[in-house]
Amino acid sequence: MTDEGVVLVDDQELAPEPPPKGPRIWLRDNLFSTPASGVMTVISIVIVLFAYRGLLNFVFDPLRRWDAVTFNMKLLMVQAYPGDEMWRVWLSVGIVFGLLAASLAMWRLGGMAEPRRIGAVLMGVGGAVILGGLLGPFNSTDVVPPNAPAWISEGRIWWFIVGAVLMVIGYALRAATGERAKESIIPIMGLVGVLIVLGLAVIWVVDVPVPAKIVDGQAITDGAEAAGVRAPQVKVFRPVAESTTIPWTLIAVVSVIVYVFFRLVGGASSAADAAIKRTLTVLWVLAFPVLVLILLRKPEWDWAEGATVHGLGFLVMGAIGSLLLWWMARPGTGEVGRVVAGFLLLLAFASLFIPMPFVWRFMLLALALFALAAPSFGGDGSRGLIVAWLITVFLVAFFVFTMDTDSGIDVPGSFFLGGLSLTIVLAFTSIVLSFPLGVILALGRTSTMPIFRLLCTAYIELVRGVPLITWLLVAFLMLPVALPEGIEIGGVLRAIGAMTFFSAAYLAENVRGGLQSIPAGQKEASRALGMSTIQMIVFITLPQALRAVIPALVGQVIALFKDTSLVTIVGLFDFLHIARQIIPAQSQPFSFLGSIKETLIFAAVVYWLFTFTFSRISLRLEKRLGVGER
Amino acid sequence: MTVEVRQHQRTPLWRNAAVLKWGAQILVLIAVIVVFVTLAQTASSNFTASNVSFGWDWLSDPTGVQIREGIDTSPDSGVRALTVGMMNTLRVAISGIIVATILGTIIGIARLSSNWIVNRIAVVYIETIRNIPLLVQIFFWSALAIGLPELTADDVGEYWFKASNKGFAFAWIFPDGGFWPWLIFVVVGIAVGRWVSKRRMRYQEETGNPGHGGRYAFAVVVLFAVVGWFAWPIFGWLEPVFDWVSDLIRDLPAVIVPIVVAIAAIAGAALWIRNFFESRRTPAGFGKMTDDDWFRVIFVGFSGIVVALLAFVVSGFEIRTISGEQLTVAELILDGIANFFGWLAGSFSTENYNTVVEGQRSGGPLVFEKAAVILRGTAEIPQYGETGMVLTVPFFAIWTGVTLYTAAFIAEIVRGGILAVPKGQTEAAQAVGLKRSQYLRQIILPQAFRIILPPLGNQYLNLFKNTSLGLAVAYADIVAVGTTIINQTGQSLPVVSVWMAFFLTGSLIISAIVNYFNRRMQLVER
Amino acid sequence: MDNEFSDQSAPDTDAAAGGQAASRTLGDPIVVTEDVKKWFGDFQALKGVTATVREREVVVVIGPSGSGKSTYIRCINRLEAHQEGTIIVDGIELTNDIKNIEKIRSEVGMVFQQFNLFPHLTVMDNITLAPQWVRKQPKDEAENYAMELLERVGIPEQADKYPGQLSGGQQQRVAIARSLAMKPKIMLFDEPTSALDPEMIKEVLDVMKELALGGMTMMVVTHEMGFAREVADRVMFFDYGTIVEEGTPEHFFTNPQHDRTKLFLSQIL
Repeated sequence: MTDEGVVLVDDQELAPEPPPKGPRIWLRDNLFSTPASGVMTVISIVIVLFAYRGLLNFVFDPLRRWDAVTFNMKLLMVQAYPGDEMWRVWLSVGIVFGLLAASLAMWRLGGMAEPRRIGAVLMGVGGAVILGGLLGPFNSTDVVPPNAPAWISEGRIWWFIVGAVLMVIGYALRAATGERAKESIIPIMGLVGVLIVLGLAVIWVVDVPVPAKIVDGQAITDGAEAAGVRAPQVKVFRPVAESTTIPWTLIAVVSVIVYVFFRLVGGASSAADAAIKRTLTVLWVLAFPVLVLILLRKPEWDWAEGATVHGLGFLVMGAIGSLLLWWMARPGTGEVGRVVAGFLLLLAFASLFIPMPFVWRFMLLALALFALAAPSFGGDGSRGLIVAWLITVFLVAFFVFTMDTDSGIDVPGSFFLGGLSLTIVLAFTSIVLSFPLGVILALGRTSTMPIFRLLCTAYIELVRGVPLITWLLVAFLMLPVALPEGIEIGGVLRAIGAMTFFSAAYLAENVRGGLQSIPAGQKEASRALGMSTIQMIVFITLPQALRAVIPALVGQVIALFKDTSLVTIVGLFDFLHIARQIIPAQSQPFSFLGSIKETLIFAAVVYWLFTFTFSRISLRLEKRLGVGER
Repeated sequence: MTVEVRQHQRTPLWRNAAVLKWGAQILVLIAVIVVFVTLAQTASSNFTASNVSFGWDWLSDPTGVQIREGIDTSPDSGVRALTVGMMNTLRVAISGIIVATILGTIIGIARLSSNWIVNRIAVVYIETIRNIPLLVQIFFWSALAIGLPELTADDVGEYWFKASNKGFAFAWIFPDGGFWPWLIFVVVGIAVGRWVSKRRMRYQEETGNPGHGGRYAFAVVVLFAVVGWFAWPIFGWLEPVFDWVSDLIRDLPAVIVPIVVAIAAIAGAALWIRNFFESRRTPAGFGKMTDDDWFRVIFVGFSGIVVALLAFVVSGFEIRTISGEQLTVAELILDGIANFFGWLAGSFSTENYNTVVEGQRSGGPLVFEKAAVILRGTAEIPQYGETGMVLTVPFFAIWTGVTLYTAAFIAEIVRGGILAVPKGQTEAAQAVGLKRSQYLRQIILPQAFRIILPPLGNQYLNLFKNTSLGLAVAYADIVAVGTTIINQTGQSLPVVSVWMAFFLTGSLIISAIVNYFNRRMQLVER
Repeated sequence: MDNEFSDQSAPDTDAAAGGQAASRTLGDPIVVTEDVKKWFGDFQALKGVTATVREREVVVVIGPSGSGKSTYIRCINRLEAHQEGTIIVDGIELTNDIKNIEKIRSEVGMVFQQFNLFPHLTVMDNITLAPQWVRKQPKDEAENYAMELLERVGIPEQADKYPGQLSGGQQQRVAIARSLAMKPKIMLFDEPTSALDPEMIKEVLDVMKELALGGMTMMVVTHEMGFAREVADRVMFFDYGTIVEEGTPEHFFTNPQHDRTKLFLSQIL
């Protein structure tokens, strides 16, 4: 790399500037500006061509066992989830997509794109497809399986046609918009809609490779039927199974309808908008526990037991708590309330040494925290405080009841989910749980109280100084022996615990950056207005700090999502574990022995799609919130 | 409105801000301690129930652990096994850091290139690598290498480069008999070269004529290297000197080891703390010590004392060597140092001067070796021979994984650092007539480097910690070896504490090095 | 009314001779400081400040930078904790007692040089936040009063904007409204116009004058001598952490007694 190749340009300027005065000038400016640049261009083109050809050869090699991925798609996604309960999974996916569509519509995320750029992308993709037709191993009898569908076996011509169509569409788009090609006039959500339609078309039309055994000239692709058949295994091309096509189509249609509906409803009045947004936020918060604990888990309720064992106790707890909070939040109570709250906190600690169900200890601690917050958030808000307490009591009661109930989903292994769904559960739960812990640690580390600071600093540095895999091993090797008898934590919970504690330390460092970026004047102003420390943190410093570090927080979310793959080392059946260990070891009903490269590449693509989407959303959020502009 | 002044009222304790502040802190501290003590008690009682007690005997006991690669594949004690693991971790980390830095810088600069296609290649690399979990990548590299053809009897022979499912072997340059004496020549050559270069620079400043300092310095180093290649036996007189030192050390009493270590540890910690305080001192008195600072000081002081105490405890351990002797650790260390000097003496020996012994390396300073495939054992299994550089599949997978992964992040840091240099700097440099290569080297890169350094240090830390993923592809790093020891002995707590000590120390050392350069850069600025 | 500090208000009796101040009748002492000392490390910022401010009085504090005048008024609502001496605000002594600190802070408003508005909240939320959560007012009541205040400071139309969208003068007026929303008994101003462009100073000073006419007890650290002359009942001159000289504006500007005062006035007038 020579110095001549370096020019300091901003990212925005790096876009492939379409020729303002013709392609020759563009080529000269962007590829052959200096002799050294020209040499690099030639070398790069050779590298790209070889890499592209290598990729095509790899992907379309008849030895590739892509049927290992297509046949095991369900295993990769949900592991051994029973087939006749699959509607629960589809319903969950549908709910998430529906919420996503509604939120996208209400928050108007999306924005506009320039026809010129879309045209350039289409033409680029078209060109790449045509090039693929030229370079690829098609039309050659010794590399294409005999029963491959037309678009592979008849080879290049289809690639050329598709590529040419794309290029024509791209060019037409630019020509049609003419003068306005440089303005942002095409809604990105419209493009997403086109992509959805295309995706559906692919599911309905395009064949995928599946394994089969040939008996009497008939290809048996059903795993159950093929199980005992002693016939050579072949690969045939079939449409995607109906069990997948129809749900996806339904979900896509419903999502589009939801999007259009909320797009029409939204913007009518700001009060209604705010109400809808609030409802959506609540639904998002509720969605995860409801989906994972209730819908997917199919708990076998025993309502009588629920009412007697859980209901009564929590009813009393709710009533006593409400009374206490009402009394504490009265302006006249004053500092006596603080003493009571402090006493409650002591009691909560003391409860560690008194044998009682774990949940009561937790409730005592929660009540103490509510009581501590009462003087700050009481007054006019005391009704809100009591409502919050009652909701907390209800949720805890409900979750305890749910967790106490056996899962109706009966699968081998200790957890009812596996594969990609387990990966998502791990990532989401750890992120949600580590967030409050990270914020508390960050507050502790920036606090003026030295012992808090020292404790938090020690925690953060110790956790960050040692790799995550070590903490996972600690959780799996040592935690079981350190816990009191009677408390057993399953593998998934242990992994969530380790990742939560680990991620909290990193989150804390990010949040600390935000807290330190807040000018001292903000704190002085809130103090001068008579706010208590808690009020200052909740209303003034934290909202500003979090807003300032959103990009870093999303980065942390991405890192944690990637880190969930480490649980495969401690033997959880997450996405990567199934892709790397289970499928390449399958021999029945179809053999996929040694198909590890295919499954790993599929896993890589799925991970990539998730993280890449996250990072793009982060960029949009950053722009929307105008981080750095204030 | 009356003014009631309760001049000498006493503030009740529960309303006193200071009391509340400290009360809360002490309460939390007690709660944390209580939780830890409870956990520890439960753990110890659980272990007593299952007849396992934690201790350090496994360090010296023979473990029977077999390690796939490293300086010793069948270590005779736990401590030896862990040492092998540490060396393997460091091997990946150090070479990975060097290569990732070079690769990352190249890609980062390519990411800023005005050449569209070079630019796009860099973007595709960064966006692909960054967004796929490292573990997936490591598995992929491992699968790729295992998928290579097997070695067969037909492959026996010498190779420049050979890839197989046993890993990669290629020709490499190794130090040989005259290497150390020759290195003295080279080092002296570099020192002289620097001096010459400085003189030429002064000449250029005084006269305005081009000084060609770099060329002169290069010539001097080459001269010394060439002369040293033939003249290295003149250092042969060092052999008896080192032999004498070796014998001297062998005769020392063993107790001197812990004493020296303890003094060094405490003195080192004290010196570090003093320098640290010095560095925080401003003209107005002590500068503000942040908690991090206090944490570091306490950590260093505490570790100094712990190391000093451990020195005495550990040196009493008895370890059985391969030859079956029972030696205390202190004796072993003395023995090791004596052996080191013995080795030095051997290194300076002129015995092999310019003679090529059959089956051994040549007598020069460096030797070039091709890789070889040989048939080993009575079963005549084709394997890589001893010559050339051999990378096993696990090493290749973990090394390629962490290096490429970190390089992608480094590339983004380099790009960000260069972009963060204000545009005015480029314009000013152009205005005074500097050429592009000149202003890049003299103006932009030095400024960018200061911005790049702190996040770069973070990436080094990440790379170091990520080497622990070697466990997943059975690379014998410290975590993998430790896991094996835990499985065999059940000593989870001690092994985990060794891991933590190792990683924390490593992180601290990397931070220290990065901070040192960071400080130097800041000084240059003023 | 009779208390051990009543005799200390004696020097203020001649304050009634001031211009506008004549229209106000001063009430009881509301801020009493006695021998207040404060150190920052080795540096002593306050070297024993004794002073009394009475209800409805407007006191302007002037002095060179670093003279301790800002530190002094920041001690009065305990943004800084004093180390020796006594500060009594509205009959409550400032000690470590958190109840007293909170009570005093909600009764002493403060306006800062850098406005310190909360950038993530609208103007309306900036003003209503503290009344709602500290004074426990219902939301409607707080919002109505906030609108009233915004009208008083002349910017009711900006209620739904964010601070970043306002000019400096408008921001400072919002800051004053924010303090007034707590219905304070005393208002402290710490160089309220120093960060403003000249054309915006007047709009802020007008608001402050109106406030003074309305009978608010005010302590103002400022370099605006015009304001001091026109509105103040009393001027305090700080230097090296002590009150060097105090008196009516008339007395102070026309006939300063102390050499340091003369030097200071000659430099800035």
